[in-house]
Amino acid sequence: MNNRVRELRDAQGWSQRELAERLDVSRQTVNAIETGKYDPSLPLAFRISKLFGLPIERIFQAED
Amino acid sequence: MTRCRRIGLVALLVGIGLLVVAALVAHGVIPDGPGRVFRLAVLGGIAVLMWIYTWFWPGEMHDGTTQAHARRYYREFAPPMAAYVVVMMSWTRLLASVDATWLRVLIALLPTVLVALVIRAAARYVRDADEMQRRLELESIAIAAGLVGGVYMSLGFLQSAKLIALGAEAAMLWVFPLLCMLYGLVKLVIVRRYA
Repeated sequence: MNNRVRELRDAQGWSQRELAERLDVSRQTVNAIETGKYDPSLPLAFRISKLFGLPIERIFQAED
Repeated sequence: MTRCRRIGLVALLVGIGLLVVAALVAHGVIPDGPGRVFRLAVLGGIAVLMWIYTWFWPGEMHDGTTQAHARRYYREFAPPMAAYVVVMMSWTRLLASVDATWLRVLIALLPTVLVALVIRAAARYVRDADEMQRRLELESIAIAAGLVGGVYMSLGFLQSAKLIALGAEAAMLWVFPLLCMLYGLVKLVIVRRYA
């Protein structure tokens, strides 16, 4: 799955650690999501979507 | 160099030191005591394992947890673990100093109570970790448990074929430490997949 988490985080000027704190996950988890090595569960994806104020499908896209 | 690796280097130096002392005791340069070589070698081995673990860990170890979560874990893990180390240093002498069976049972099981508290701390850590960390932990524990089972089954076959002769006491005592060591090494491999 592709995602825009890094791009959205950069736009907010947050570090990975700051985003991790806001999502109540570890920095390693944020890094794994951003690099596409880990796909978050639906509840976590909803938390990310709420934090950035965007619908899930604008952040996460299925790979073709 | 990361803080994690600096700690690893200290562990390596301590480990090498302990292994050298164990070798000197084994060769009679330093006076031997009951089980001294074995204890020194085990402690040295654990320190070297710590070096492997910290040296090859991607990034900083605290990256895998939140601050509050880590703090609670250390608060719950450190006291029983420290008590376990203290008890184990005097356990044999303590056991030899009492005659009443009920008291011997109590003293014999004291380390188990402390280990149970350590397991409780670890279980709470895993339960409250974030979803990816929980996956890492559970995958590592599952593979390590499978490996321990495989190792013990292999040893059982070798023992049945009369090719080795392990004491039941040593075999039983080493199940949990082996599980912990293999869990650490397996987690090291798995965590690198997500780094």
